Amino acid sequence: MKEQSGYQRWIHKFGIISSLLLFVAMTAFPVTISAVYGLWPDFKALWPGFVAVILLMAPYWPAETIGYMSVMGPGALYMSYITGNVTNLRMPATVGTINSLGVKPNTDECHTLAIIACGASIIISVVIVAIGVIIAAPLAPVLQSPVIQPAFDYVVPALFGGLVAQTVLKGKRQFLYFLAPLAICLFFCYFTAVNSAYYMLIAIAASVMIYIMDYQNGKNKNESMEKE
Amino acid sequence: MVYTEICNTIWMFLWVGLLLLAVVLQCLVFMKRAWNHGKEIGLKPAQMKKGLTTGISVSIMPTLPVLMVLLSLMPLLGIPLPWLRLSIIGSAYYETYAASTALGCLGETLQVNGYSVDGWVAAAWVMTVGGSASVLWSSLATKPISMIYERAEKVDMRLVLSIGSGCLAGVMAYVSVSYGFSAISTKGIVFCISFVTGALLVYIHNRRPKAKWMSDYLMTISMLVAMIAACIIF
Repeated sequence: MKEQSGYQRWIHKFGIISSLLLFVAMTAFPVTISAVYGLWPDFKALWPGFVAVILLMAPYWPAETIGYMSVMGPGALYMSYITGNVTNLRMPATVGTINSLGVKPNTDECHTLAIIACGASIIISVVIVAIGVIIAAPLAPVLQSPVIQPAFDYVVPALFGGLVAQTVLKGKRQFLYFLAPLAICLFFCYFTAVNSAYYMLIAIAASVMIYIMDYQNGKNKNESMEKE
Repeated sequence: MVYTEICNTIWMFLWVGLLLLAVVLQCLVFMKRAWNHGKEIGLKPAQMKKGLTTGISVSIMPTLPVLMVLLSLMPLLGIPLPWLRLSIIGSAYYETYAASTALGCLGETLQVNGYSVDGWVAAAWVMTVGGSASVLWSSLATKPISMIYERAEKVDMRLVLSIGSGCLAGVMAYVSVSYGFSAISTKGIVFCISFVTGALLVYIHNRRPKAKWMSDYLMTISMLVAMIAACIIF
């Protein structure tokens, strides 16, 4: 138990320090450009741009951190926020791994495997994009061919269909419990103008409530059986 | 000075290359420690290798659209800036939006050779600093949120497992709508084809549990079938 908490402390310490160092290195890129060429932007004109860009993504940060914490754990989240694509690349890599191994979410095993799966996912993404930079010219006609264009346009829904099937079809109960948050998301999507980051949190909260009620029911049944 | 004179300089390639090496190094350090920890808590090497192969196999195809956006942004912004942005916190939609917004603030538009060097510098600032804000969030918020879960574990572990399952079901519902049913005639069709293929493979696997490969490659097979179907339908 003591070792485990030491591991957790290391995860947070290394995650925070390495993330902040990478943040500095990233933001130093435009600073260096401006310093080298003496071209500093007019920040009075540019500040609405910063605000607009940050506000576009900001609602997703708490939604993803709270929603994915139980599945991915802190280590995988620290890594994933550096390279982005949390929902469409890192989370599927984690869920695919725990599904195929039958590991329960929110366990030490799950979070450990999440780090390994996310790390592999990040490295392969970085390598593919780097290869793309090197062989950009010959690659362009192949990737931009109209015949295979739809395959890449719809790669994310194609990825998620199988993932959702594998996750929610583990049993009748899991599938029935999945329908409630699905109905909530469909309602918000089609009948309101609420940002998807917010209804994601509402759907997760509703789903958690259902699972807690199910847990309480099971616990009460067990207690009453023990009394009998 | 025009922006094409500075946007592809050697030092920028080196900067981005070194930064990406640092990102890979961060991953390797995390993975090494997680691998050792996995052994301590009883995970088998085969299970952890499964994590590696799933992470790789699931990520290849969805990274290709990122590559396509890189190819489309390279004539507009040069190579190092889109390479940096699409490798780190990159998303196709976000980067184009950030560059256009920055240029819009200066009254310019994102076109090949259609804006000034000041516009390119402004785009570099907004794309990089604006995009990196999420790293600050993760550095500040991940630990407190994780601590809440850790405290709950000490009270009732089975309750925490139920919460985890609830979160996962909620996330699956969200991605089903956001990446599928929100546009039923386009991505919804592709999502449904992938779902049906996945469901079929789950059914067959339940009947033949010895066919472990089916479970291992379920996501990859469903994805490829749906992508081929997308090429035929659209």
